[in-house]
Amino acid sequence: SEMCIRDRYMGSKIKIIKFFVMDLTFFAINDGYVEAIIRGLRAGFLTPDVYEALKGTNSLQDFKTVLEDTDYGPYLGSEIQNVSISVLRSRLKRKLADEFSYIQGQCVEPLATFLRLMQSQYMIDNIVNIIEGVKNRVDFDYLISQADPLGVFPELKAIKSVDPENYSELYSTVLIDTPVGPYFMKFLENVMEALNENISINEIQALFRDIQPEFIRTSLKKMWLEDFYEFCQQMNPITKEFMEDILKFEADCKTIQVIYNSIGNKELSSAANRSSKRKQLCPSLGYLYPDVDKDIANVTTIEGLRDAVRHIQQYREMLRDVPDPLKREEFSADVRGLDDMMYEEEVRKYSLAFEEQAHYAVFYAYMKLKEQEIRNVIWLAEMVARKLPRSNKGWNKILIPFQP
Amino acid sequence: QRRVHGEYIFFDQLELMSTNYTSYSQLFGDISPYAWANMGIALSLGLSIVGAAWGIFITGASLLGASVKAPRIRSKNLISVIFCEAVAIYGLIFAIILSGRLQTPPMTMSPSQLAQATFSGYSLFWAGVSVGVSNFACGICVGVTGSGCALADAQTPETFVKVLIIEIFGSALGLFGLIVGIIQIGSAYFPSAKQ
Repeated sequence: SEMCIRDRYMGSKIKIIKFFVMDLTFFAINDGYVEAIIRGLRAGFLTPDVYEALKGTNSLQDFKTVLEDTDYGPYLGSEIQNVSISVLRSRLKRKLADEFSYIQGQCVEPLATFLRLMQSQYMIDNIVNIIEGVKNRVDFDYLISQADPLGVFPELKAIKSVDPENYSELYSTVLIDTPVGPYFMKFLENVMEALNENISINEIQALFRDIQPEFIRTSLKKMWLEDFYEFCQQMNPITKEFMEDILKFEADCKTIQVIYNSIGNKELSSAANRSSKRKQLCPSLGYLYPDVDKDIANVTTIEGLRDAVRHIQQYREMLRDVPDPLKREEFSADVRGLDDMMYEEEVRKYSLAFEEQAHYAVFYAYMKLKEQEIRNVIWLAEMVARKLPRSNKGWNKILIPFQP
Repeated sequence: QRRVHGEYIFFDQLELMSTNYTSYSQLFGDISPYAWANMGIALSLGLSIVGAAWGIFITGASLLGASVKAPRIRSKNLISVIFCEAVAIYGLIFAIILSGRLQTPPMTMSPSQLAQATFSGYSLFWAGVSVGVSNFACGICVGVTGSGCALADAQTPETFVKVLIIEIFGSALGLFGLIVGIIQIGSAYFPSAKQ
């Protein structure tokens, strides 16, 4: 298969252990320590009491003081008088990245590959952002400082040296060494395939220049998701069970989001592009795949989407209350959008992952739940900074994990 | 078993090597009871220690990781390691008891002594197996439970005592094996050379 990450890992001695059940008795050999570290870190999640205290603050300075008492204390201490939200956000993310770099230092295969795959989604984000930024002549050091610390890798800085519009050269010189290189290769192959054979090089370059970054990002994430899913099929049964459920749900969310976002978009939902471009963006895994594939492919309205997912109760309920993207007036801060529904369901799934021992899904769940926590904290910081009244419904828009 | 002029000769290597066995029962029957007995000692000791070691590393890995964020659990949770160690000690004690039953054999044995030796040999072997296997399972059980105990204690201190009760029940399994083993070797005596 073209996916190099899985092939690189296969063939090692783990293949032999695969025949044993890597359950409670064998798990501790390689991964007992790191799993216990993650479980210890679970105690560092912000409790509802802390969230209440945060809601009660009047200024960002008080906000920061409340946060200093929590696990985030060491990362916020040396701050000066005026703390800004972007600095807060970068500090919180830095803490998460440090935790994961410690864990990566302590783990062995196959957990190391699992963690690298987990963080590949952030690497994709970083690369696409940097390429777009360099194209738009943004300062490179600023771009690097804005990069998500979870997805930083050494070759990221090398993008500076290459002309970002020349994708094939960019790929062959820089991206080929990165952990996400295979995804770019596949992406380039797909785009080339969709073209005619007798197009000149200049037209290819022009085509690549015109590709929207969101398209690249969604395609790459789709490939990453499929690769991750394939990898999780080889893990021990408990990991496989949890990750299958989580990744399938994520794939379905991506599919629904792609369709939802393209409903109003004339270009994407035209008959020609529906089967090619839109299909290209939807992952080929999930509870909706492959049964609902055909129905979903022909959807052009929200009603059509609701009709297509009616067989699965979870998605039916999720889409029931979602505003129609064609009617802009239905959107407001009170209405729960598709993102909110998806986050809520995901938080529930990730919290469940902590109920079981001896599997890798806790690492993925921890990362995602910490991300949600950072999102919560930044949301509350924004609410505090704008001095919105307590009656505003936005105060309750946070999702706290591990709630029964 | 071969009889030569009403006596039985042990360790006649040449004889044994030139024997043509015609059935497995003959082959198994010719294995010396002292081989069975010593194998039983090895099994009781070895399997118990494998179980105890397994349990210790399972619980130890979790204990190390959990005590990074919650150092208070360190001393309390060493009890899990001690329970696993107790499993190894059961195996050790039983092996010492078994070794005590072994005596230097006389050069020749009468048929009744032979029967006694054969019975004791089998008895010691299977007693060793019962102690060894039950301690093996017990060690792993206590280890897995101990790791869960450490992780739970790191999150919620109140759960420590509750999970400890589970561990105590688990370590009783090793005791069962030990008790049955001691009953099994109750009448197992080897003929000694002095008679």
